[in-house]
Amino acid sequence: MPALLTFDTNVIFDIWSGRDGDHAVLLLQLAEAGRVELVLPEFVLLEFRGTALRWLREQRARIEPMRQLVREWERCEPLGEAADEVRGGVRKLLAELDTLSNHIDPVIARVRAIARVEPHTFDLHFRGDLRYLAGHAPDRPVDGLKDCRIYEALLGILRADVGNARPHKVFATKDGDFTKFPELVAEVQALGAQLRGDLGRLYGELR
Amino acid sequence: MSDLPYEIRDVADPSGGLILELHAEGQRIATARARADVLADMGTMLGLKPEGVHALLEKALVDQLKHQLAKVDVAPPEPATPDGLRFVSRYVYRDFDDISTGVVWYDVSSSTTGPENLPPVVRNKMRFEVHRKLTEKSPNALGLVELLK
Repeated sequence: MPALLTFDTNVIFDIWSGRDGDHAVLLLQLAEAGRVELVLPEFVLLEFRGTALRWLREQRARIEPMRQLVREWERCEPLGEAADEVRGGVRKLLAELDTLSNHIDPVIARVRAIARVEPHTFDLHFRGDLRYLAGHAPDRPVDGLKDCRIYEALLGILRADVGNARPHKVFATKDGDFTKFPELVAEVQALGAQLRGDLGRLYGELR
Repeated sequence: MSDLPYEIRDVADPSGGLILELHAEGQRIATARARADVLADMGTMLGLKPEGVHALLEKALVDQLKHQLAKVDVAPPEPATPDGLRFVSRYVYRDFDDISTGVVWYDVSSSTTGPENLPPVVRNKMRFEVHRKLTEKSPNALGLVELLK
């Protein structure tokens, strides 16, 4: 069997937004080429959609004060031309945010085409809630309930695969919080997997 | 730039104005327009006929194309190490009238780009080019990369 790979929401977010973590797309290439089996919780795709939409709303809200400033600057002759260029930049930014918004569903569709997506279950959801209540959130000190559910969904994939012999089993994350806590690393190791945040190096090892 | 394939299309404007669209590589890059009342004003106040306004808008669209496509140009990246995980290339970066060129590198293993003083748009373009190269045989992964184009 090929290596098993699963990852959390921020990995997809980086690919979608083209941030400097977007090299994670290379791991998807390995999955598409059959070098690894990519298994993702449905919860990750759901959360990606919500996180992306919230992020876009925040960026648009941040741009609004800039538009007001431009209107103020444009009234001054010496600033007018430069302010007009800023107006153009703001317009372009808003257009690019619209484009990003239009890319959310195509990104999900392409990830679905590559990965095996495991449905979210009441059991996993409940396990996440119990983790939260027990104070074992993976993103301490934020202690997010959502991250507890995601984490349990990812552990669920590793638990279901315990009987399978593979060269590697990897839980990849760009969330530095996850890899900071030895007990989380140990919990993943107990299921025969590694918790990895160095996705570029991981690509080099798995390809 | 003179052999850059592009097309300027006239789009019907029901209100009697002019609308021109610039298309390149199958995409609409920019739109230029002059309303009917503007055409009339240009005729009466400046003696400029609609053909003259059309030519003016055409030139503005071509200038726009030059500006958009020439901001960052990264040559096809080449592997710099035997493991094929470090790439180098050359770039041309135009910041208004300030043009600079140099070497850009991307180390996939460490997820770093450099040299450090390069503008982020150059580094982003380099990452994009390398990712495109490494995913070219996987349609869905390549599709994800190309969404960033």
